[in-house]
Amino acid sequence: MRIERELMRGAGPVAVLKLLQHGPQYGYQLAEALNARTEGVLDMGQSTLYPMLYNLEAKGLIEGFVKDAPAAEGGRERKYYKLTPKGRKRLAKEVRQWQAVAGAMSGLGVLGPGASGAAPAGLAMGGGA
Amino acid sequence: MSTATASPGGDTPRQTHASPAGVVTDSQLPEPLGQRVLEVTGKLRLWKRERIDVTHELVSHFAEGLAKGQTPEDLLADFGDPTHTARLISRAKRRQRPLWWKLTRGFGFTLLALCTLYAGLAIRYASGRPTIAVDYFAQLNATTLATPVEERAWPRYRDAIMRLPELPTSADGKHFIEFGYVEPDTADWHIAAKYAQENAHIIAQVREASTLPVGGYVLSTTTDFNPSLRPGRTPVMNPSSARRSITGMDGKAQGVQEVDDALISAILPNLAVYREFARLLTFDARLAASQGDAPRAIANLQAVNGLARHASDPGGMLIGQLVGQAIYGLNSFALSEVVANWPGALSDADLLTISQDFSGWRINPAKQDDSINLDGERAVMYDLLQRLYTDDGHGDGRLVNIHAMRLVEVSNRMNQPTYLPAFAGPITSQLMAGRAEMRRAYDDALKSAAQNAKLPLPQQQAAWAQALQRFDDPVWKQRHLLASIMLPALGRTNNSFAMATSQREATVAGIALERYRRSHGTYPATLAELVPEYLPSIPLDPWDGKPIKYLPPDASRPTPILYSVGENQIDNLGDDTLVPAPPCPGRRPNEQMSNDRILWQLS
Repeated sequence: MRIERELMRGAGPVAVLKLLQHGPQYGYQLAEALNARTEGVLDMGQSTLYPMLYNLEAKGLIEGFVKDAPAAEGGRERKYYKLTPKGRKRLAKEVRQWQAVAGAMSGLGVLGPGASGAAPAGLAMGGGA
Repeated sequence: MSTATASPGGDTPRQTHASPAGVVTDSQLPEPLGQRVLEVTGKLRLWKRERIDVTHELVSHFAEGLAKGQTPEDLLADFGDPTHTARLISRAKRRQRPLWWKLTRGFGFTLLALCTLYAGLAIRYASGRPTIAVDYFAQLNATTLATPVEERAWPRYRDAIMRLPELPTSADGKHFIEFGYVEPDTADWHIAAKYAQENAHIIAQVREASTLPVGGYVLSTTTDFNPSLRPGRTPVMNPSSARRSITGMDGKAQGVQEVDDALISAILPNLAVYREFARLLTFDARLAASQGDAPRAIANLQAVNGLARHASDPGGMLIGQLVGQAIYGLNSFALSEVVANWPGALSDADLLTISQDFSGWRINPAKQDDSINLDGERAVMYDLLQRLYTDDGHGDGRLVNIHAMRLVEVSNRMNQPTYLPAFAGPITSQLMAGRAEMRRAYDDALKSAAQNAKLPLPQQQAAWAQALQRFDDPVWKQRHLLASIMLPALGRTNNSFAMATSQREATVAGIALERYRRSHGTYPATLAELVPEYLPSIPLDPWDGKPIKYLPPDASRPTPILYSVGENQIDNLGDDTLVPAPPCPGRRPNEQMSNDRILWQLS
């Protein structure tokens, strides 16, 4: 399902911050997780993902660092991203807001059964490297 | 070529390369993917280091995808538009740049925007030209030019002044003789008398010229009078003929200016000549009285009134009327001196003759009334407007010639510098009012002044201050800068002219007092006793609207005094001590005024 740009602009960064909550991840890994754990709803290509990561980095919400992949994975050079303390605070705030919005939409009947503000099961579980 | 360097915050030193191409080559990606990476990085508007970082990341993403079993075609399909991607990445990476870069960039954009704006304004400014449509010199000189040369006084005054020797030095050698105030029976008096007698023929020529109907000085930015060619002076190029030196408000020379043809640049060297002749002739009047030569004394006094009239020539400037008023005041003083020091010199008939002459003087000789002639001032303003602004044919236009503001500075008409460099023109043209609005502001102020002049004098200052209130607003004043500079100090001028008319009436009353004394052997107890035989009516004090004050002689003073209560409207019994003057539009700070204003006194 293709998501409107404005919705993606709001949801995408929060999703990335959430994925980084439990540990650093690299770009391709984030893209895979977004696609898999949102059932393709937040699937985004490099043209969307990397500008988003750079913006989050500019805001000080995430921090990038270079690290080689494990030998078993080819030992390639990877750029990982991790949450900063500021990023954690922002994530907490965004989660509250999304929960409030979901609750409101649920009350309006926009969200169907199970739409109590809880994230899809996959996203709620911690992901990480 | 690649080398290893530490990456910021990273655990592993990143391999550095000389270019994105080097990164792609080393990555050994399939050609389509490598090309895509280079296509994107080639469009990045980033520093080299940033582009290489992005290249690494894109290459890494493709490599991961290939490792997970995706095909190059799948990866390219998921990538997105290269141009759009490059733009988004460039924008995002620039947000990570340091603050100094952001500030510099912001400043640069702001400067560029301002320069663009200025360029637009400059084009608009430079594309207009003022149109000199009205010859205001011709308007103001109309009466003079319509008068035959032989009926104009100025050519004869000029000839006389060019033959008049340099003023004699005082007995103590410290200054020139001040003819208007030299005391009788002093060494300076005898020096002055000798000078007057040696130049009696020139004085006679001035007397003759003063009887002509028109002063006849042709207003211009140049002049036919070169004072440096007078006897005893060092000849120099006529400073008014082609070029004039400019002195800034700080008193320092700023170079030489080519004389333009603007009305504001008009010069009036004739006024200084009239003043010099007035001082000489009033002295000669007193000298004549001391010698018992009543006809010469009377003729000189009448001639000085003629000089006062010529200074206020129709079409002249306000300064001419003020000089005329000053000359008349000097003459009144001289007459009182004659009556006081040589009471027997003038017969009753002489007193009557001179009384009629003094009573006939008016501030506005052309109209034979005491109105202030502002035609010259208005013409100067309108002339400036047509030199500074374009003309849209409907009375409006935009400012296009800021250089012309130098004319205002050179004329020394303001109390603060208004020099504006040429590059300020495009900006100033936007800040200052348009032609119609500027003219309206000026005309409205003069219209208020004309209405205020009809009020009782004590109310005029307040009314004038209220009319000028809008000029207190700095924004309004800056927008109407030209109008605010060019407005004459009418608050003070009205005062001055009101006192001049009082001077006239007091002089006539003073002569009446002398005639009464001669008839009755003593001065009257009140001015009412002079009416109607010696005086048609009792003059009024313009400051309180009541009869002017009269102090008969007493034990301490053998002669009477006529005085005005003055601006403070308090009767101080003739005390003319100087006190601080209250604030008044156009008045300088720390200016002083007399408690009471003595109008007639036989010292």
